[in-house]
Amino acid sequence: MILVTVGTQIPFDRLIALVDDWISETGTKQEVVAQVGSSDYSSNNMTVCQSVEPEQFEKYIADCDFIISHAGMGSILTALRVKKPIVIFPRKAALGEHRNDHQLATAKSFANVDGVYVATTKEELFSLLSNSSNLGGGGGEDSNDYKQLLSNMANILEHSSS
Amino acid sequence: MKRRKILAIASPGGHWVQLCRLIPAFSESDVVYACTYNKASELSDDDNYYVIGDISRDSMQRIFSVISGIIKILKKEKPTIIITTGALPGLITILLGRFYGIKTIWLDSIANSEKVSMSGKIASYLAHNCFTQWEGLADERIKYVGRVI
Repeated sequence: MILVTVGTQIPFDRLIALVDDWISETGTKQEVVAQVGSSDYSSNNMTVCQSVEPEQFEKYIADCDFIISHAGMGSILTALRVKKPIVIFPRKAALGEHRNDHQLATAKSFANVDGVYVATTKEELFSLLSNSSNLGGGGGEDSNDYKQLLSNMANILEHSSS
Repeated sequence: MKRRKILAIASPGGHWVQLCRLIPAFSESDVVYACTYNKASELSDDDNYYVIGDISRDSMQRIFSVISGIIKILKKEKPTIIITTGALPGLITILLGRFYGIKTIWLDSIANSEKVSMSGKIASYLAHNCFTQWEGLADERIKYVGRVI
């Protein structure tokens, strides 16, 4: 199963329509579940829902082979947590898809992270989706940066007692 | 000495997921969580959890109910530390926390890789501690102490 998710704030039909086109073009037999936000997008190619309850979302995350998502931190960190590959496609402010272009910055900064695959065009997206069996998941061992954060935070909290 | 009690608060999505990455650092403290949607899967039934209204720069109409919701939590739980990963409701909580004399910590989202968020910049003047997750963005008021990945 492929999980497509774009968060709940603003719709991102450009990505949903591209995935829809890719399914039509390739005739993939893989089941696709798409969480589309406040959009009335509908398609015979996939199961479409506006939002997903946290419990059901965990189930989808556990069951899917990989995730296609906007370049949102929630999706990326969740994919790393469950060690599933994630293809991210950033929103663009110029197309009214977000308040600003921070998703382009996110895509740039996560391009080298294991398990995170960036597409910014239809061609890049289709090529990643058509080779999805080669995509590996990320999120192995805890990084030193993360261990450092936890010990620093614990330390700061320790010394913040009033 | 009063036992340490943390109020950990964040908006849904990436903000919340990043806050949850900090949970292992809370093991020596009592913790109360607050988020703007249903109980998140990262928490267990034993966790103390509040739901608050969501607001952003584009939707301010609920700001007074959000403020009164946060004040209720502060009065009832009497946290000694507030920690937030954003966004706007977290910033408001830091401001309110200062009025109540509570220690406040802001961790800017790792999504802000090229510049610290507007809320983070404001938090750097309001919060006792303000952190970025990008070493290159650190300055006198906003420090780098590690990151969630």
